[in-house]
Amino acid sequence: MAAEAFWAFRKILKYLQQIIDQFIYIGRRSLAIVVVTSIFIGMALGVQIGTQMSSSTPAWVEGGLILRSILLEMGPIIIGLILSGRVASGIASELGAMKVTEQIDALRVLAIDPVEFLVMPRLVAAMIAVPVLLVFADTTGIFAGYISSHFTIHLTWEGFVKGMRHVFNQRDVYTSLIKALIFGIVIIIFGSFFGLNSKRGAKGVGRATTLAVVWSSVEILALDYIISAVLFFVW
Amino acid sequence: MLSVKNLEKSFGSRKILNGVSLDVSEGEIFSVIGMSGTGKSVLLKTIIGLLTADGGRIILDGTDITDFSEQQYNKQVRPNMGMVFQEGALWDSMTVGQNIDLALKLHKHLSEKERSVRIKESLKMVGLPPIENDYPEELSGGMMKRVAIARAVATRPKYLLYDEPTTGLDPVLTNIINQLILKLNRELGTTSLVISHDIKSVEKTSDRVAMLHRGKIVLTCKAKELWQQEDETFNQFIRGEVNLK
Repeated sequence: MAAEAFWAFRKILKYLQQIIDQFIYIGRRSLAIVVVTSIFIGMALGVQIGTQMSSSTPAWVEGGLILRSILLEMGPIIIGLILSGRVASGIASELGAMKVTEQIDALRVLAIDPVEFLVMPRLVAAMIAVPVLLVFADTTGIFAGYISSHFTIHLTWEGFVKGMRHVFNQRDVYTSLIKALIFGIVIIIFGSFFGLNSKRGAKGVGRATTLAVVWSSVEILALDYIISAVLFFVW
Repeated sequence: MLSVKNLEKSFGSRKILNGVSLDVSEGEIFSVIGMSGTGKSVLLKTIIGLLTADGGRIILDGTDITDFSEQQYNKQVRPNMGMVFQEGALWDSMTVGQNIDLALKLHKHLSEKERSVRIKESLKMVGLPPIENDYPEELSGGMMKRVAIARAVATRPKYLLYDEPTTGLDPVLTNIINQLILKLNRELGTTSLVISHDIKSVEKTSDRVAMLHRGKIVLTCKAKELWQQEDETFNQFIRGEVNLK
């Protein structure tokens, strides 16, 4: 199904409206939850790192630690898991309900390919929306980390920026965006796969939704390690 | 013309269709009757390619379509076929207008204005007011069924397959749907294959009737000769006798 969905990219223009609708659903409607979660994650990181640094470590080091933790791990992982719960479950239940009420068959009868019409626009939208959401998540997470560090170890903005500049590497940004892009694909493919293959009424739809969330979450965590390891060797 | 020859379909070890054969002539309304669970819907779904046949042949206008791929079905078969599902199967996240418009927008090279006219025409044809902005959940069962028919005829298919079109409807709505099937057949010249267990409706609308029983067609006759048949199983079924052989 994934291959079919990517092959359907050649018909992107035909489904532009669906792509825009899905971009709004995946991107705009997830923004608030992503930002709120990132604020709390950033603040928790600020407290944890700040309180564990020894008295001999300069405070500005925390800026760099927060930056790298959020860019490389927390940002993409949190986005992936939140969207897995919000988007993969939504897709699985929507497509699952369509499957058990013959709405998918109705598409096929009218010569409309369900993967082309339902999966491809979601995939395109997610590949754009998830990296964009990541930029918001990373920015708010890092800023929340600073606020938290300020109140925990009295770190100044100048010190925080100094720490970030000290460790900043452009490749970390690319790593973060690559992870977001791949996690976006995983979320859509797992949500769609389990939704389109759901069977046996309401119970089947519930099962498809659970499977979509569980498998996409596991896959995201596994891929996070694989991408990190591969990019470490590549770069 | 649609011909089905020795069609077979099983689900696991359960044989549903066991050598079904029938011929539907151009322009006729052909009904398949039979008890619930005898595979009537499976027959329709296999003809239109939603299910794959295990054996036998399906010939549509002289072309053997049995082994067609999904793409071949989409290009050569489904543009000429419409199907009305038992429960309507309307896309519930779309309005009535969008339901009817989708196939027109994706497949027919019509302008927005032409499509809008076609939507209105299709609704009028099935006796509905301009409800294109309503959502399926706002409609009654009878209206939903008529919208499903409007969606099926909007692309002007040559063949129309109906899966239990009158099931669950009151006698008045049943008559409305029956008249609609006849009207579409007359006005659009469609060839119709109707799956039903509603004997009165079948008698009123069909040219010919076949009975599917235990995976086989046990009898085919003219609808007006429905009550003059000698086959015991057929007679038991149309009379509604409990102990069907």
